[in-house]
Amino acid sequence: MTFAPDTAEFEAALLSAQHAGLTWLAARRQAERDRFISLGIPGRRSELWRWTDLRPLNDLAFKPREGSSQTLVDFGGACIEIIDGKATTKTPAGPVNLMSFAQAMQSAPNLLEQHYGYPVESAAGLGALNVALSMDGAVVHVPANLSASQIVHLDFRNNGQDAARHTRSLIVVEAGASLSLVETHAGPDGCQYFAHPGFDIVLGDGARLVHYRLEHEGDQSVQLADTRISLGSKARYENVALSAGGRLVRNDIGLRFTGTGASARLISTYLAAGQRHVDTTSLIDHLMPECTSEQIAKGVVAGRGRGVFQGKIIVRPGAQKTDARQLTKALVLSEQAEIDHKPELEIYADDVSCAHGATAGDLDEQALFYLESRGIPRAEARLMLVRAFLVDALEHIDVASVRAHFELVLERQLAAIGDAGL
Amino acid sequence: MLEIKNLYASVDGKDILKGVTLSIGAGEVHAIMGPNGSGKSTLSYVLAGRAGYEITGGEVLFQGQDLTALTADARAAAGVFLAFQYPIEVPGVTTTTFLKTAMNAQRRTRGEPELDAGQVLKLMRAKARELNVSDDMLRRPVNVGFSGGEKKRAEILQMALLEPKLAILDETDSGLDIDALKVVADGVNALRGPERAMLLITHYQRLLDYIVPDHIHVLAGGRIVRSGGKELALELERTGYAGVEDAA
Repeated sequence: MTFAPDTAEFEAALLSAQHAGLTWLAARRQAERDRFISLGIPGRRSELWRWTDLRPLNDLAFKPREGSSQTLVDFGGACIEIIDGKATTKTPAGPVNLMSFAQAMQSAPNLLEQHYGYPVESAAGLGALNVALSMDGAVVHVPANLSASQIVHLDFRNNGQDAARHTRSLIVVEAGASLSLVETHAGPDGCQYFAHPGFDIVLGDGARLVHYRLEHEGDQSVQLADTRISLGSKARYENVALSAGGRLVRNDIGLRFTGTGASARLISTYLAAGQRHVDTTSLIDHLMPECTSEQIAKGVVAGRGRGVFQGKIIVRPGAQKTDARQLTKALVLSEQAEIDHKPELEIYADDVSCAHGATAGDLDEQALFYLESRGIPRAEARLMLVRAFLVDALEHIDVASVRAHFELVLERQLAAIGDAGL
Repeated sequence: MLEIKNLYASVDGKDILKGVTLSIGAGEVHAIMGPNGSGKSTLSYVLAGRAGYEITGGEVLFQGQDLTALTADARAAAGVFLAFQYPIEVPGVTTTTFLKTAMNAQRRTRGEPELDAGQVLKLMRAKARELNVSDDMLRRPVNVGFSGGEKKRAEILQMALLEPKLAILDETDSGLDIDALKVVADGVNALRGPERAMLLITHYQRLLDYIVPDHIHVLAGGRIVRSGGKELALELERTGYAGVEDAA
């Protein structure tokens, strides 16, 4: 099924998307708008959307509406709040430039023009819609050779029944610079809204970005995220993500190695219980030689929950000495839960090392009996093993305040599925 | 304390125990010896309540109560402990968390107040020192990356902290060199007492040099074919199991 959004509403939203007189931005939005119209909202006949049904979006509007904000988490660093799609810097200017998109249109138009929302081959999702409609977003710029001492928090908080929040953020870490970033998405349970955050992440030569991501949207929300990452020579990118909230969540990741000798590690975990649907679809594109990528996805599906992992790795001609690894593991805790794994390797170079693996199954009976034999009731033992399965991914989080918050969110979700009967 | 009467049990439809009768009083240490495949490990799993081990006849009374009516965790709370022949690795759960959860789960089932983290840690450290279990081992995930000796010491540490009334030790000597065996045996001997019964399951006589039992039984073909005092072990060491298997 393919359908187009209400045209009048869409045109109105497009008109209201800001470009502050920047003609290149107006043109880019228009081009992406045309691309989106020609593609429509992807249907399940499209290979990349086989397992994720976007029909819930039918019920949602495309225009922004008023909402109200959520409670705050403080990670002890700098912060940009993006509340109901509108960005505000919460921290005075420091060596790292933090701006809203609206500010950046005035003060850093060249930075935006260079990096903002360029279409990439991997943008299989609603990336075009995002670039066309994004109202605002965060812009983070780390100048060359600066090691940012403070963590930067992009704090997305959504609210508003039937509201759509299209945002697009830009993170640029210039050559030789480094940054730790935490991105959180939260919203109230019981509220139907559409969160649509996009990210352009650019690492210069030798730059380093440690990126933590927490999706903790409300339990009736739809979140479609579009994240595009490009890595210069010898750059290092690390991502640890936990998805634990929205009703329908899809994270499209496109990572491109545009220089030699760079490396990336992406660790994602998710918990899909009740009716939750969590889809991670990624394309890791080895365009250049001697780059290393490691991707680990660990998920737990329970109740009628569903997990999807589609991970494609392309090793382009000439990308010799590529080392690409991918592993996806899932615990399937109920008869009605479902997991779909599709690892894909496309290799056009001959001197490479690539590996992928996928596992899915219930908890280990031997381990369960061991715990029970020590007096731990079965339900508690199951919960302990589920926690153990997920929590080791969070051990890769080096910032204590971030790790504590991620663990807290995970504990709440575990308690909820424990109460629902594991 | 434990009365096993004419117990029959099967696994995957195959009869393994064929009429085991055994009585263990408080404070007694019994050893069950026997050749491979005689049903020794099955007996230990049946007592601990492992799924898939079906009791097809007879009864098991623990302190006068029908043990087989209880789930595995309820048996543990009632005071049954099984030291595994091959302790299971549990990645992602530290030994400390595991022990605290187990101790408090048992206390909850028994209606006793739970211990806080400080109390558990204090108890754990004291017992760990006696058993040569390092703080590092307590911080590591349960049994993950432990050597054979470390795993067995960790089992005895669990037993020391959970203070069972009936401890079943399944092939506790397997995979241990003589020094490790002495440490484990000392730990077990320290836990002997007038209120606690023990059932040692072993293929070899060696363990019984270090943990000297009051009674020895020979299990063969799913039945106890001989019982005697500690001297029976020496006789079996000389003659092997060939003679007793014929008797079965």
